[in-house]
Amino acid sequence: MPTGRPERQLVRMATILRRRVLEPPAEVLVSAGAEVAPEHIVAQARREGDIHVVDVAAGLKVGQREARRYVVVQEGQWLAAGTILAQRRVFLEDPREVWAPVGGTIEALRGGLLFLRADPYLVRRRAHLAGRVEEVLEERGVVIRSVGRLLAGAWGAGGEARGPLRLCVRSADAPLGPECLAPEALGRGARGAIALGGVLEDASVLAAARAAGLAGLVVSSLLPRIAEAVATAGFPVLSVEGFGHIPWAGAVFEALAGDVGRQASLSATNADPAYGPELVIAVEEEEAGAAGEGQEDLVGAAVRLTRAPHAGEVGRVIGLPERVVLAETDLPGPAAEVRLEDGTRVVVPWVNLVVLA
Amino acid sequence: MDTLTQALSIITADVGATVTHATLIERVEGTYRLLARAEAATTLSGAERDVTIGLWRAITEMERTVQRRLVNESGPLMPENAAGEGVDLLVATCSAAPPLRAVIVGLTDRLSVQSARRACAASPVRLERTVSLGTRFHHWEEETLAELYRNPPEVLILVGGADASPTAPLESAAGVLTTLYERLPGEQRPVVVFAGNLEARREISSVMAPVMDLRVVDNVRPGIHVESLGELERELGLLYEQHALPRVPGFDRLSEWASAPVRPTAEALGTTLRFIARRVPGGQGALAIDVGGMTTHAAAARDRGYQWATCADTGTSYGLEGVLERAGVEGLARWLPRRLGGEEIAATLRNAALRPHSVAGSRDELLLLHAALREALAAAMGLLRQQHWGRLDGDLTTPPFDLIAARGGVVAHTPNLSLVALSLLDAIQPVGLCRMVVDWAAVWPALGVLAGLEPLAAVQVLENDAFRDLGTVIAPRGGDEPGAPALQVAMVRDSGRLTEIEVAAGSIVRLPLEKGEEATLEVRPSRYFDIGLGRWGVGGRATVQGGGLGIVIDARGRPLTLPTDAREARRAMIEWLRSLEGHADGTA
Repeated sequence: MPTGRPERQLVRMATILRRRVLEPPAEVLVSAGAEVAPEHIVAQARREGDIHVVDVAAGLKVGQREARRYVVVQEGQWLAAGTILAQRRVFLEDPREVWAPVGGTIEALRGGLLFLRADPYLVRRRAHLAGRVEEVLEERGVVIRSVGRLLAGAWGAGGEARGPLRLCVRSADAPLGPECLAPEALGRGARGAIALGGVLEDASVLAAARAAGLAGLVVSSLLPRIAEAVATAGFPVLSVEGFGHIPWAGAVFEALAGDVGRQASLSATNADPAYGPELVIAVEEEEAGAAGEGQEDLVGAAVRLTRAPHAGEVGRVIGLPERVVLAETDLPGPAAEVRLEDGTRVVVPWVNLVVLA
Repeated sequence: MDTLTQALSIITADVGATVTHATLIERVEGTYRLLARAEAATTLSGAERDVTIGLWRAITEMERTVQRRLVNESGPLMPENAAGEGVDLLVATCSAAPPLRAVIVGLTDRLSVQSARRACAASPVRLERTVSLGTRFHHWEEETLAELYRNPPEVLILVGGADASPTAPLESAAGVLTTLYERLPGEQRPVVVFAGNLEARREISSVMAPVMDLRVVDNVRPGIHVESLGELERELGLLYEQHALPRVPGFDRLSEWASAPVRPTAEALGTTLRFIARRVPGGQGALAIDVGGMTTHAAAARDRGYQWATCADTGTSYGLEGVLERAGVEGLARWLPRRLGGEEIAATLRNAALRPHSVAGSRDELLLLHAALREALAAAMGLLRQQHWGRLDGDLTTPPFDLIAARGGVVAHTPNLSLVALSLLDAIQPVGLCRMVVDWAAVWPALGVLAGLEPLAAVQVLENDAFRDLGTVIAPRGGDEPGAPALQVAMVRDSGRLTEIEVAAGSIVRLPLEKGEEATLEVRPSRYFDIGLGRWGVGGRATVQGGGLGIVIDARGRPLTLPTDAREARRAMIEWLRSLEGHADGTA
């Protein structure tokens, strides 16, 4: 079986390096060593506006070659939305006209089609994480170094969000229903927050989250049938354990509950393609310094088992036996002996483990 | 190194989307043998975004086996030194790059566009959209163009017109596309492959070449009844090699390590498969299937002909989402001997896709992965049948081949050979007599590369070590009432021992015959079955080879029909698997 250390779900204090870049050419607005806040714009680029294609021939009901005769604008001309592009007078009928759907510049007329380029616009990349500019990537952006709590997710959709962390369930295994996101349950100051919930089973939770003005949602897991609704919810949602009915691991939930109110940066889809979905919680430098890097020793670590027959169960590593050959796959590889919460001892390949915290 | 000097030791590497495989080949007493194999997670993300890290780990795993140094911190030690450290050659194949995103633009919905679709199905591309401009007005839809601009494909295939037909519509389309893309930054513009009317080449080149990377290949439809896909398929393969593979993190370093250019896995597998097929001149050829983590590939080689089909985003790790989408939970559940809920199936497979390096930890999970394998494979075989064999949608059988060669993580790592054989038979539905083998060491593609450097090594490893024999399969076409006599089978071993059995319709059984053993097999079907001779009820005799499963006699009928009642279907799956796990002659 493939080798490699088990993934870590929650690193209590992590040093995080993430690329924040745009397609070149972009203007980098910060310099190496600069301190940045999550909302800080680190790079920007001027982009050509979208092309809008207007089918003049079809609009005027004429042939493609004939269309040019009726065009009343010129290549290179700037015009506002609603400007008449082409006009054809028909005997005993109202004139047929074609209008510009957006403001912009006429690029070309080809094959009865008018190419209208919308006005240029500016794209910006924010730092997303609080930290320091580690490296400037010329004409692209920067690498940000941040120190904080790092929660790795298994699945996410909907982009990025930043905001204070808020808890909307009372315990690790409490269900996440729409009532958890009702104004009376959330209280004041929920707008713009990143909420932590349990298992996402019902798409109505998404509507409640939208109504509450949440910036993002972090759930322990979600049912596969609502994945599509999540993907089109319009705000970022991160599932820590993936799919199914998997509650929070107690240790992870407790650690995150202690962070309520802290600023968090949620990447349900990570702008740095090298990394998956994640949540970074800002912590004070002093605290980070005291805590140091995460625990590296596997023995004693709390773990989640990711595959059957114990998928979703939580336990603690009590030993590292010699390499095992898994009966179902015939493959040798490193493994850990894990005591599950019910006391059962099982030997699990590393690749089927996630270290919780 | 000077390849005139024979290499004594060789590392082969196959960098897949999920797993990187390595083998060590050495010359032992004058013959090249496969001495060790290992695998490691392909390192494509996070801080370890360099595929050579995974390969390095796989090689160090092999060091544990052979107890000698093969690599140092900076890479493989090459050539092998006097102390026996290092290797003389390293050859590599790679399929870790996602397929190229392609769009076909054609004049009509039929003919050229259909041919281009067939070419795409045989190529490492993901066809995202087909744009047909209509027969009379060659009309572009505004929203289509806007979408082509917002999400430019990596490859744009422009087709249309028989040779010597009017060129104006194609020239107009070329002009529109050029205008659309000329203001995009160069690296975002698609590569255009023109595979249309020969007469339009000059004009299209003059319009598009100054702005786009334009490749001109043979017209895919030079005449209404003539199709020519070879050049387009080759060009798409080349584009994958030139554009997709170099984007794999660490590919440059992998190329530096390799003694020959790193080749796409599917293409190198084709070289090996063609070689295998040529070993049996006038035979029925070889069928290879490769169910990878992200892509499933099926290829057939017969005499000098070679056909292949690729299902992008369909596999047994990252590609599980694609399998779920194609087959649905019901499609997967029908292959399971135990009832599993739809949510459970979806959650298990989607979680497996999210953690592609994790492995099945229970029999139920393994059976579910085999259900996904069947569906992925059936999809690739469906493409092969439709695109190259002119079969209709409903025909799920495969004509006789001498050899069915299977590879992929789930195929190679399932110790239960009965389950492997059953999955392959269910998905491929071969007819006639064939030998089934598995690429247990994930070495076949690399042997295709090695053949160019050290042909003797490639041939000797292929003959001695590269196959895990499942055995010989007899699968007749046709069907009868379950339980009715289907086949009378008599097997005479080299020792003279005779085994005779009657096989009932609807059943699958096996006769023991060890690997390396040969026997004469005589099969007499009932009048409702054809054993691949093209005649119902006509029997035959053949010399057969043994394997892990011996001789498998699949009398379930072709096409294979599963019971419509879910409970009956589950019972049938249990019975077939049990039957293959035991022996028809009563031995266990």
